[in-house]
Amino acid sequence: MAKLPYSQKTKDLINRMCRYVERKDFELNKKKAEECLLKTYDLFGLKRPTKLIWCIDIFDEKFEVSARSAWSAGSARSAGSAWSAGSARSAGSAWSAWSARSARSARSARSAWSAGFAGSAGSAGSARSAGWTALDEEFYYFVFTYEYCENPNKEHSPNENDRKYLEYSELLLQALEYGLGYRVEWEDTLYLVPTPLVLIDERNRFHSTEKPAIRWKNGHEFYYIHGVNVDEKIVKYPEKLTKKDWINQTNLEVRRIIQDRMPNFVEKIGAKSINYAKGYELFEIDVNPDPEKIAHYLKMKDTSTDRIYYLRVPPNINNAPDALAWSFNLSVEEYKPIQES
Amino acid sequence: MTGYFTARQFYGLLKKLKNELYKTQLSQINNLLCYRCQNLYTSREYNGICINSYYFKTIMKKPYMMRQGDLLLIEIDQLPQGLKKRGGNVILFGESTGNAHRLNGGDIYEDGELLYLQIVQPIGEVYHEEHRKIDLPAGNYQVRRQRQYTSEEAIPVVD
Repeated sequence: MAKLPYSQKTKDLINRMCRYVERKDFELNKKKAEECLLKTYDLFGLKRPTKLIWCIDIFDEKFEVSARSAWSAGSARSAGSAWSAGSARSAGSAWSAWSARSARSARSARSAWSAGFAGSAGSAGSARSAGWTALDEEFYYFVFTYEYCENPNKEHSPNENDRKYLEYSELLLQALEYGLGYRVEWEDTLYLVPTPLVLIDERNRFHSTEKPAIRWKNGHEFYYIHGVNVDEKIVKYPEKLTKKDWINQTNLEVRRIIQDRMPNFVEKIGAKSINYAKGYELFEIDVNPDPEKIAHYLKMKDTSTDRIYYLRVPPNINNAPDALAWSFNLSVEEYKPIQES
Repeated sequence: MTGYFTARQFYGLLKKLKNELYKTQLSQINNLLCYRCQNLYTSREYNGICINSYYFKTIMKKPYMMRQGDLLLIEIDQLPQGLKKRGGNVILFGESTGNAHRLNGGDIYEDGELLYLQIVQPIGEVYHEEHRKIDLPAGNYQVRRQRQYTSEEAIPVVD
């Protein structure tokens, strides 16, 4: 058997975390989740907040306002909150002795869960507002420290802080298992948000061709196709997509998703090939009622992923190499990359 | 891209370095310039010996240019004046995917929309979740974003 870059116990921990990457459905256990979170205060001898308020999602006004205030007051993670845990961990602990081995294990752990976690779900719709914290935000370090304590370096054995940090992270992981996703503390009140329902593809990218890939129960929804954030229409009603949707979409990735999802894309677009050179093809497309009437599009195949992209170029460009050079504001003679990926 | 090698070292390197980057660089060598007598030899003529000296300067086709998706990196002699150093390793962030072109082994400089890279390690790398990484030898680079046409104006490519 191939030697693991980290111990079996660490691997088990990573597997446990990975079980919550995709969440098709879950039952939120508010009581137990709250209890776990409050215990983290006891762990550091801090006073428990007196009030607990559950919000629907991270866009909930109560949650956003308190997150913003906590952030501007600088209290989000600093003194006074249980999350000074982070600094307890770093002070004079095994962290100063990060070995290459544990760095490696943390990296591979990271790729094992990558996108699907609450931390990244929270950035949905570019709505990441400073101030709140996703429970799994620091799980990267959790794995790191866990592996370190399992296999300590001889000169720097783990200390009390490291063990406390593990206990703290374990409580957060349990709270996540009970369905808690995000929290912020402000004025003696703890604002809590459950984890969203998350659907992913085989490469851990947000993905669903039927439903929102990220959805808070009774809250916001976000649609993704293989990690690309798109509109509801593209996912749910691809048959309603039109040539106009494709032309007006300026985001290259989203436009690519439209061409993949639109039935009979080639016929609907009605592109006429006018030049082909070295894997690049230039097309003419009728864009009436656009005042320019016709548009020229360069078809490019990405060499890393084999994906097909179409890039609009000025209508006076009539061959593919010119179009490609234009897209980088160079002449054909100047555009000579020695590597394309 | 320039470098100084003795003829012996040069042949040694030819044999030894098999990695992709080096192969690409060699194919880009136009001429060899004798470091002492300034005689020029094309790489075909070059027989390993200059009667005056064993020191050669390799002259690469200029500029050194590499592309990763919608980014083109062009080698430049020096960075323009008045640039601001940017923190972090993100060169360009993809709005719809959350993926990014990132830099390892160098610094990112900016002047408004214009971006430059300075590679301080012998070889830096630009990596992205969905593209193969590209290696960049030490030096200065201008970052060019791909653009697209709209009936109003040319706008940068976003993904």
